[in-house]
Amino acid sequence: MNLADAQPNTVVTIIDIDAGPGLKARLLGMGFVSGAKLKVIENRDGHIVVALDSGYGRVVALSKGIAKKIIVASSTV
Amino acid sequence: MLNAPSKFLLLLLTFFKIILFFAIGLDASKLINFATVECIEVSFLANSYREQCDAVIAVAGQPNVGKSTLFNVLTGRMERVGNFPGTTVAMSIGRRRYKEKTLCFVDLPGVYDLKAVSLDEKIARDFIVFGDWDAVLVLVDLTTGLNGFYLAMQILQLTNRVVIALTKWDEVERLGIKVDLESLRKTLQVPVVPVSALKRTGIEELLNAITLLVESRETIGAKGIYIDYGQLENSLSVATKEIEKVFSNRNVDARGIAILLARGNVDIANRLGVGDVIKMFSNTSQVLGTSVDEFIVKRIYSFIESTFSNLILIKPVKELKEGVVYKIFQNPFSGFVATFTILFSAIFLAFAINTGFPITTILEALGLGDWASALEKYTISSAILTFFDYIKNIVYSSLAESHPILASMLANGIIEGVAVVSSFIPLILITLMLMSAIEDSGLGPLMAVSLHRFFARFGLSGRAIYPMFISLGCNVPGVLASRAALDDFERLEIIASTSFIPCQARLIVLLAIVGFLFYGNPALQAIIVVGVYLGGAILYLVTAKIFRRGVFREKTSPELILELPKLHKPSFEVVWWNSWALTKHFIVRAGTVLILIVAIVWALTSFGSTGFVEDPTQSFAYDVGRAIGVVIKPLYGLSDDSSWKVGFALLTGFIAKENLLATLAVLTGAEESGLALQSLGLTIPQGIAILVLFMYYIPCLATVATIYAESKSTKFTLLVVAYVVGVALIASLAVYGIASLIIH
Repeated sequence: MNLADAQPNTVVTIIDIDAGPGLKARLLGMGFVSGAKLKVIENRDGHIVVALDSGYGRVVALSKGIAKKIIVASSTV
Repeated sequence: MLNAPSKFLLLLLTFFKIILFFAIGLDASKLINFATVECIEVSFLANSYREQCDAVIAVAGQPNVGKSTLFNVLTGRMERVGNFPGTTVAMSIGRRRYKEKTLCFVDLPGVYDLKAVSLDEKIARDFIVFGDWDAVLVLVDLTTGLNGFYLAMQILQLTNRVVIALTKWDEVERLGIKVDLESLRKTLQVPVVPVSALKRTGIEELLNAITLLVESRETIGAKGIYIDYGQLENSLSVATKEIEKVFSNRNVDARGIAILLARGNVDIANRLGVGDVIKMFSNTSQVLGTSVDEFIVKRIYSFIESTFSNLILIKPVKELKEGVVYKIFQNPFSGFVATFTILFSAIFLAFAINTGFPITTILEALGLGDWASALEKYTISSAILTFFDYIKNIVYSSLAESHPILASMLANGIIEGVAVVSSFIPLILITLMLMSAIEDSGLGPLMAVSLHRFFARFGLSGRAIYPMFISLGCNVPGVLASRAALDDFERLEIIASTSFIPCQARLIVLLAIVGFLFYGNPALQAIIVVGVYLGGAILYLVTAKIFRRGVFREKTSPELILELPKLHKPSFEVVWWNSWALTKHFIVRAGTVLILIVAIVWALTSFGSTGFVEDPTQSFAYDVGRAIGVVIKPLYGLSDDSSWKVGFALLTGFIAKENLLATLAVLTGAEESGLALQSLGLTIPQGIAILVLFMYYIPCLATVATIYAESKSTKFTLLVVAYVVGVALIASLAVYGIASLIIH
């Protein structure tokens, strides 16, 4: 599934990022790398808010278009 | 003198001007130079400045790491010296005397990564690679996890002349994050100093570590930290050898540059003349099964994970709390309401302190007129104006007899200009402090997120609220703030739309014209003023949409990606430092520009082909104005006399919008702008139409220059100017037609 479908208060693991080079570089720089665990804080119509490091890292707001490009899998932790 | 509602609006505009600096948060540094349109080429450190420094320390860190706070604690004050080369981004340098040495700290833009996509990233990267520094101070914020080391590791691959400061140490301890400092120092092979700028702890240790590092400067080349890149190692060694042939900087390890090239920093390869290296790396991507860049980034993150997870225990006692404030801003409706409530409360507070309005109006309404006038008399702004009136009268009366020309120029030009600038200082400082407090608390990005959905309908992201608000103060930084956009289309949309937002200069013109046209009818005045702003906002949004769909043929909506820093109580000192530095900047820029323009207009209208002239119709101004007047005269049915005056005002207004009124006042010889308008003999429909024309007709010269500088395209610049002129003419004529039907 992609990040836009993730439920609030769940933790997901990034599998892949399917974005163009500019956006991808920006995401990588902020810590959105495959294997990273994201805690979903909010999932609204327009945007999604996630915290890196399973909820302990930086908090980032992403628009849905970007969230759709981040392929994730549910994580048990 | 302006009446109270006019003052309120004038202050409102100034307030928005200030948002320009703070709403944009980490991008504030590049807006500081808002009036500097031309790109000043300076060497990284101007030679004269370099001589005053015993050591130059580059300060690098990711956004929200607490850099500006620490920078201010370290240096106590900020000095801005020119720009980074080839850019309009201001370079902040702060100095500190420590152990009889002058340490100069260069504040680099906050960046997540050394891979340069944006201008900020390029500046930070190039300064570290090519700049003339003695040490790099890298800030790492552990309160947002281990990812804070990502930038630090990249810099450490380039050089070991680094001191690492672990910022927000008080917060780190409060969260119960355990750090094995000794092992961390051994692993990184550089000094690691925990600091808290807020509690002032670790500052002495940090300065000491920096001084020791600078003194121990070795003559041999720097050695970067080694991260093993496996399959990429062969190519990296080849590239390192190639780079060593052409580049020698004892501060920087060639391997670190090879890694930057492998990540696709093509401009560095070109600058060094090793373009082949880039080709070699792109060929290896097939072997890796992924892009070289992604491969390297993953290696760095996994290195961080494996190296630091044993040394730093990030298991906060309290789970990261997303409090009620977050909840409010996540909801589209309450977020929208909260954003505007906060902004308008701040305005109210700033205005009340500075001018007494709107408290004075409330007092008047309650029948306490005496109290109101007493309050107004003793407000900061009226005290300043009274003072300058006094000076002006002394100067004028003592010189009027002997040197009438000089007396008029000094009193009505220069002193008047200084008075206007001065009367804005308290307001600017107060509003800057309020906005700085909002920004320092971390609310700014929350506001942008809450507006994203609304803006997305017009082909803009929530971040476009920044350039839009900024443009209310001045369009030039509004254009520059377009860099906040994620994609180039959005950036150009913002650039094209900007000049429809009436700037502060146009507010003054607007207030004077409505004050004259609808004298004694405040309700109608208010409707027109609100209409002009609403019209501007609609034109801004619609233009963005038109350019996205019509010019760029882009059907998708722009995206948003924004870090939400933790909310905290703003620090008074940080707020004061930020706002005072920017206020000083305003004084210098606005002061010089205003006085220069007054002198030019004064000269154009006082001199003609026959030399000094008393009658403005003999002046150069008349010739120029008539040429423009001929075009607009038939459109609005203006008289000969008023058409050339309006024409000349349009020309000087192109140089700077506040000239629209000043020019009309000089041309008609009227002391007050209301009288100046009266002497033009405009009917109300003509007046409203001219008003609309004045508001939107063309981006001012500085804005046009900035549009060109930002878009790097003559074609695009001309397209935007033509579009703006066309839309303004259509809007103005439409208003003229409607108004003529209603009013006779």
